[in-house]
Parts: sequence; structure tokens; C-alpha cells
Amino acid sequence: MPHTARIAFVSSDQQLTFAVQLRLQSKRYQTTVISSISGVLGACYSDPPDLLLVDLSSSRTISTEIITTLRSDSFFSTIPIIGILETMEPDHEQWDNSLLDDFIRLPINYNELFCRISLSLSRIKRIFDNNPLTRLPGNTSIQRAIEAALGKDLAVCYVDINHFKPYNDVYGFGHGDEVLRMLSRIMFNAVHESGGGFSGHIGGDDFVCIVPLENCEAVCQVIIRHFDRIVLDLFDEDVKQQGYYLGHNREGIEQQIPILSISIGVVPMNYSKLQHSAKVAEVAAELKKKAKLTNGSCYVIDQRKE
Amino acid sequence: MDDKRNELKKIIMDTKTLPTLPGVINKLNTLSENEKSSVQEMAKIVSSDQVLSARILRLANSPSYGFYRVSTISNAMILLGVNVVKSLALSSSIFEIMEKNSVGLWEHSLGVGVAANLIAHKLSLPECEEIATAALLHDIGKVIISLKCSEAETKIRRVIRDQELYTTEAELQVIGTDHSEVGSWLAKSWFLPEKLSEPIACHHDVSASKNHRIKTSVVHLADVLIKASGFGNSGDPYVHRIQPAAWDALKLNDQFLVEIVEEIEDKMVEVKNFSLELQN
Amino acid sequence: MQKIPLMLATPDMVLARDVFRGDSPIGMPICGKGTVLTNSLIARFEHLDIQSISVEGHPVWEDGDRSLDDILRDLDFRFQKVMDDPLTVKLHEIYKTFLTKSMGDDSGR
Repeated sequence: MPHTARIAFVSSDQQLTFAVQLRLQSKRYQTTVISSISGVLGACYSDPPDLLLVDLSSSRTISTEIITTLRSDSFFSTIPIIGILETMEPDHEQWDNSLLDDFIRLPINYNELFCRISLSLSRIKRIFDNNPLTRLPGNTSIQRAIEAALGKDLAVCYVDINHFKPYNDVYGFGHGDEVLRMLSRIMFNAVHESGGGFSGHIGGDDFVCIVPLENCEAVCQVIIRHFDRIVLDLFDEDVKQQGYYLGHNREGIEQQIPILSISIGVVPMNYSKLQHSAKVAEVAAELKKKAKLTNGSCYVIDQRKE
Repeated sequence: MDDKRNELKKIIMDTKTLPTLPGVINKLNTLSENEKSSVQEMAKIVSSDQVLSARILRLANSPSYGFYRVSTISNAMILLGVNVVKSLALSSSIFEIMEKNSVGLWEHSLGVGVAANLIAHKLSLPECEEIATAALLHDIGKVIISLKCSEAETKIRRVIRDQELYTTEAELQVIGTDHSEVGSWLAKSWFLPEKLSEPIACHHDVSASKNHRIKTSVVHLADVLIKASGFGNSGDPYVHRIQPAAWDALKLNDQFLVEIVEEIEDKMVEVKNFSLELQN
Repeated sequence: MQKIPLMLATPDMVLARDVFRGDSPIGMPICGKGTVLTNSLIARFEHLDIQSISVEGHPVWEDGDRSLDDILRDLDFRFQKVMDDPLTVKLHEIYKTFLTKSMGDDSGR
């Protein structure tokens, strides 16, 4: 059951407050009114709203102070703040540094306000979850997607990079980041060009994609082929010839580190035994262990038939 | 002269796009409308065109994608994805029609790219595709000069004809710089990796190359061979001398030349066919 | 015998070599040496993505009638600035030999 969004309205103007609250409630938004500074932070921490509507037309300084305080804590960075401004205000707003996400002018056109509220809420949902490095959807979206895939003719593929940590240690995080960005594009393109599906970045060097069962082998093959090819560009001739470079293991002993390759664990979702998304990750972990036994890139599909 | 040169440099560093042949755009349009056409077919067309190749490499190496070492079209296509490549290619304005002259330069660039590929493979060099890409792009400076200094370009052509000069000599006379330098400015402002920009900058002065002597030598040699073969039109008909720096770097001998000439001439027939197909 | 781009092929030309699918001559040829070309055959080659074919004689001439002399004169013209460079002169010789040999089979038109 989707929960209705909670909107906190900050204003000291009683008339405006009454009108806005009424309208918001008519749209089924749970509305809280905050009329003083001291109340705001407390209320927001204990019961974080999904969106903040701030009246900047009356009590300008107070409202601005509230917004500044809220924004200084990254905990609230994902709460959209919409400001209500005066009608004929000259455009002296410093929009570049503004802490607002959106604004609306008085007199309030409520249809427009509702549109802006919806847009702000969906935008936050869309971008907050994205991995900052690769901009692929993150864990919340991934969970949802896996749950939605249970029992369907889809396959969930968990992709990770073999010997990634030593690569980072030897070549530096800048290069490591580049590899992650490359794999994310390669995977995304492979999924997209095969007809579509879901691509996500769990974190670090762990990625996941969901594609129709009939496409999963082809997609895995494309990802592997492309990754193996692109990765060659990252190493010198001698390293390429040898197939390894020198690094250190956890104990500090010099070791031959094989060049980067990937392992993919493929979990078909149409097994009745798979009831829970957590089980999917478990199965994938076993599959990947098997995949890592092979040198170089490979994928392993779960063979369970029941 | 220095002012002219600096002004020109500024203009070039500001350039975001270059025109390409209508035939290439049309072929790409047809391919993209046809569901059954493959990525390979698109890649083939794209890697035959120096402007499209440069634009795609530019995008792949730009800060927005966070890659900085992409030096081949196939890798760029893998990373950008087919849709991005398609839209980029198709966004070339077909109204920026290039004159008949340009077909000659297009053929020359393609020929040098193919020749460089043959040379690199015959010498069993690493990174053949990168070398071929650098070779394809080696005269991109001429495309920019043609676009941004059309008056000067007319004058350059006249000087070449009247004084029987190499293109580089005429360019220096008229605009104070040459297509190698101009090409290297563009390569830099388009984020192309050094393994591509150095051959572009030094294909007429191999000894000036620092980190990519081998690649530059191959591009230089390919350029000389295609001029010798008479395929395409690079602005002047005169063959350049083979620079000893290149000969030494690649450790060549006479027998190699004999064999490579045959291979190149053989391949050029197919390249000519490709060119005729596109112009149809 | 002349190797020509497929785009320049016309009916009545005669194949001087077998035509194979793809780049390397493996397996059965699509069409044998000695076959006389027709429009439908040329179209079939196009469809199979064949780029070039070898035909009898020297039926294709670019820029009109050109004899070996004309072609060698063009070659000398191109090389005029480098005839004093021993390294590049070698290239000139190689091309001269090559062109003479490839035209020689057909002894002119």
C-alpha cells in the first residue's frame, strides 16, 4: 500500500496556513504545520517529512534560517523544499546558491502546486537512489526490481570484477573508478541493446542486471566479450602478454595479480522455490564462487529445476 | 603572423563539430531506419569517416563520461552504446554540405587509415586499431581549415597550384600554421588521447614525436604510400620523402616496401568500391 | 586481368578469377572463372557484400583512355619533389615496376 506523502508546511501566516492545509489534505497529503523555528528541527528529525513547503513571503528571515539549518545537515538533503514567494518580487533571488528545489508565487495556483509537489517527490525518488559514481540505480531500486521479478521468466545476473581490490591498490582509485564506470556502461548497453531490462549498481564492484530468461546467456556473453576487450586498453604490452602484473596480497607478500576479468552468477527467477529476494542473492553468491574457479571471465547459470 | 595564428587557435579550440559527407550521413540514416542492420555495419561506416570518428572519440573521452583513454571506434562504441553513437552520427547537419573537393580528402584519409592498418599488421605491431584510427584522423586539420577559413583555403589552393608547393608549405605561407598543428589543437580540445594526437601533430615531422614514435611512423609511412599511389586527393599531388626517423623506428627494408605496395594497391580497389557505394 | 571495384562492373565482362564469399578463398566459389557477367549476377554479388572482382582484360579506365605511358608520367609527376632522396626513390622504382607489371598482362587496350 503506497503511503501518502507527508508534507510539512512552514509559515506564520495563519490565513495562508489554513488555506494551504485544507488544499493539501484534500489531495490526501498528510500535512503538518510548523509555525516557529524552534519547532522545525525537532519535528523534522523525529518525524521527517517527505517534502517541505516554506512560506517565504511572510517572515522571510525566519523561513530562510529554517531552510539553511535544514540543508546544513545532509540527513535532510533528500527532502525537497518548495518556497512560496511574493507576487511581484523583483528577481533578486540568488538562484545559483538557493537552497530551494522549486518555488511558486502568490497567489497560489493550487493545480500548479500539486504538480510541482508530485514532480519534486518523483525526482527525489529517481535520483537519490543512484550510485554517485556510475549513476545507475542503487539498492532500493534493485531490491524492488528483484522482488518484482520473482516467479517471472526473467534472470537476475550478479556481476562482479575479479581481482579488483589489488588493481585499485596498484593502479590507484582513479583508475579503479574508471573501470567501474566502464563496466557500468558496458552492462547497461548490453542490457539495453538486447531489448531492455534493468541495470543497477549495488556498490563497489558489484553490479546487477535483470533480463528476460531467453536473453540472459547472450547478454552475459556480450558483457564478457566487451569487458575483456576494453580492459586490455588499461594494461601495458608486457602485462598483456604475461596476463598478470605485480602487486601485494593481504600479508604484504609480492604476488602475481591476473589482469581484470568478471564473474557473473545468473539466477533464473521462474523457480517456485525462490520466494524471497534475499534468497536470490544467496544463490548468486554460490554461483559466483563457482565462476571464480575459472581463470578469466565467465558466467554460471543456476541449474536447479525445481 | 603570430596574431593570426593565435586567433586561429582560439577559433579551433572553440569548434564543437565538423561537417561530414552527405553520402555518409545518408547511409547511416538508412542503416538506422532498417531494424535488421547490425552494429558492425554502423561501425564500419563510422570508422571510415574521420569527422564522425573524431566526434565519437571526443564524446567518449569527455568529462561527462569519465573515460580518458578511449582511442578506437570499437571501444568508443562499446562504452557509449549504439543509441548514443547513432544519435551523434545523425546529428551531423546534412545542410553543411561539403564540396566535391572534400570527397578527395575523405578518400585520402580513409586510404591512409587502411594502409596504416595493413602496415601495422604486417609488422605485428600492438594496438593496430589505434594506429588505424590515428591514421584516419591525421588530416583532420585540413577539414577544420576548410570550414573555418574558407577564404584562406582558396588562397592556399591557389598557392599550391601556382608555386607547386606541398600543402604544409602553402598553409604556413597563408595562415602561419599548418594542418598538423591545427589538427593537434583540435585533438587537444576534443580530449583525444595522446596516442592519437601525437601522430596527428607529427605525421610530417616524425622526429618530433616523443611518446608514440612507432605509431607516428606508421601514419607517416601510410600517408607517403597513399600519396604515391595517387588514391584520393589530399590537397597537393606531391609525394613526401620517407623520413629516416620513421624508416629506422619501424626497422624497415626494401623487401617490405615491395610487399606492402602490392597489399595496399590490392586493398585500395575495395576501398574505392566502398567510396563509390557511399556516393551513390 | 584487372581487379576492379564491384560498382564499376558491367555486363559482358568476364571473370578472371573465381568469386568467393567473404575475404578468403575457402570452400566452394559462388561463381567460377570464365563466367560472363550479367546484371542479375552483379546484383547478386552486391547482395553478398562483395567489394571487388577480377576480370579479363583491362576494361576499366579512370579519367578516360590511359596508356601505361600516361600512368607512368603521372607517377613521375607525383614523385618530382623527391627524386633526389635515395630512400624515397626506391618507392618510385617499386611503383614503376608494379604498375608496369599490372598493366603489362593486358598490353594496353
